[in-house]
Amino acid sequence: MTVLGKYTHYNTLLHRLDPRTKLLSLIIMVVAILATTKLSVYLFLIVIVFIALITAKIFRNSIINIYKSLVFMGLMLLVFNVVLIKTGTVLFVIGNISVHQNAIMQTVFVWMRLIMLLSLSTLLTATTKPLDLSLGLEKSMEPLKKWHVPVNEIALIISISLRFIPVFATEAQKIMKAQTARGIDFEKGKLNEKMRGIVALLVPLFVSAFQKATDLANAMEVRGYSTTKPRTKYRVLKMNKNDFAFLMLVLLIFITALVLQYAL
Amino acid sequence: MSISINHVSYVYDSETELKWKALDDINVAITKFKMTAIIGKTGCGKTTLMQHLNALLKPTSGEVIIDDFVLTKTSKHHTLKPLRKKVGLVFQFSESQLFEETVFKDIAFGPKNYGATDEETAIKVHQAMQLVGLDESYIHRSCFQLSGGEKRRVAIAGILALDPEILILDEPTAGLDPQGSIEMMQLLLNLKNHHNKTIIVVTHDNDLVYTYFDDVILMDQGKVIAQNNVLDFFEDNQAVVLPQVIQFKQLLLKKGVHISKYARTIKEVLEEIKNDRIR
Repeated sequence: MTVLGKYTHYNTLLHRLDPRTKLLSLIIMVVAILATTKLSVYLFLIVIVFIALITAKIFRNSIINIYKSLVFMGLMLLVFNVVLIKTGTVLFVIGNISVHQNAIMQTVFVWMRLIMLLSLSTLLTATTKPLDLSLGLEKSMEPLKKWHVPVNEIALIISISLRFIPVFATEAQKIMKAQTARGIDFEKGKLNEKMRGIVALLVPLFVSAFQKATDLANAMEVRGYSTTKPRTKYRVLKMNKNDFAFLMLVLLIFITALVLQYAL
Repeated sequence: MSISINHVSYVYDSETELKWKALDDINVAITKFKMTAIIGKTGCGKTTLMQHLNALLKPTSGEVIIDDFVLTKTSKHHTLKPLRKKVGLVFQFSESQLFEETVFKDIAFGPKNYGATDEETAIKVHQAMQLVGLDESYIHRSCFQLSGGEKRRVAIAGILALDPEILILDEPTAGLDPQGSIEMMQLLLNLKNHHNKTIIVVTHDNDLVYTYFDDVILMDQGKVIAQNNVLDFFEDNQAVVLPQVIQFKQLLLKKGVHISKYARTIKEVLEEIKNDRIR
């Protein structure tokens, strides 16, 4: 099973980039997507996004599953838009519902936006190790310390939650098996059986989560962890010329998009 | 009527680069109405094998035969539930699966899932509690206020309430104190001797295996490398860590005192020495 946007190890340029570079690039690209409305700009951006996906080697399987999850939502959107939007020329008529050009255009735009936004965030998480990502976030937030934002605490919360996702996934699987052995059919059971199963899964999971949280807090405390004292890092992030070149490229794409939107 | 595992292999994550063969052509027959221990190093496939016996995992190839059930890769989903009732599975640290407000409700969860009426359930819960040595006072207590050992008893009672013919336990003594471990073993012995259960236990504790079990299966790297009755297994097999009683007997032998292989506890060894003196 491929988890949405799970880190997969390859040695590509995008994998090697500094997490801060990738975070900043993501923000720039998202702004570019949200600030533009022309079809030509979207076509340009979507090509860029696909090139990025291909160079990062995540185009193969995981991303297709993510698109599949969009299909239902996209179809709902199409239905709503066809019924509600009645501007632009009439393209064709089904029964007594007329389908207008703007309804179709609007749907296509939202589709493209969703695909791009999802692809880009997947790109970030699939090419960056969770711990690098939280380290990158922490470093990027460092200037906020001046305004007494608890950057260290936030970074700690992020990295602990990321670290514990696989732990809880394993735990959940184990409890599911244990309850299956007690007669719950999680896959094909009736609805009320599944509901009972979910209770039997969630209660032990929460109990174990609180247990683990207490244990972790104690373990950190006995080793003298404190967020108020300055800490050194085992891993140090360093931007090199690839990062700067990549950022320049992203900026160039951003400017091109804006020019296509407003100047032409 | 038997339990046999024929040419079973199991591969985790078979479609990804991480694929890993946990079981490699396993062939084992387990005798019913006995206590069988599956031993071996961490990661040797014991737990994976155990999950096949109750169809939580289906073999990638080969077949698992339990009486008239045949489990293969293509077994249909709806045929598995009766098998799960027949073969009760108690996971490692089984106390973590408790979730209901009271001990009674938690033990009743299993029988209710298999469609028992309220009356039948109540009878089964009481029987199961009696078997694991929890008295009536526990019925309305919260699962989360019990001690670790008591919680584990409740979890085991939750499986016993399904009245399985075959009971499989993964590391039932892990984390228990020596007294708790002995009580656990006596519970299993009682189930075997007085309730006609077949007991299969995954464990690391060779001392307990030597004293309480009938048969041993030794696994290594996804393969079964030895299977024998307990007495012969520990007499012949020098590769495993020997139980303390055997080490003691060997020391005695060096001093010229021969103890028969049937003495399985320190007490029995002492008895033999005493009897020899009298003679």
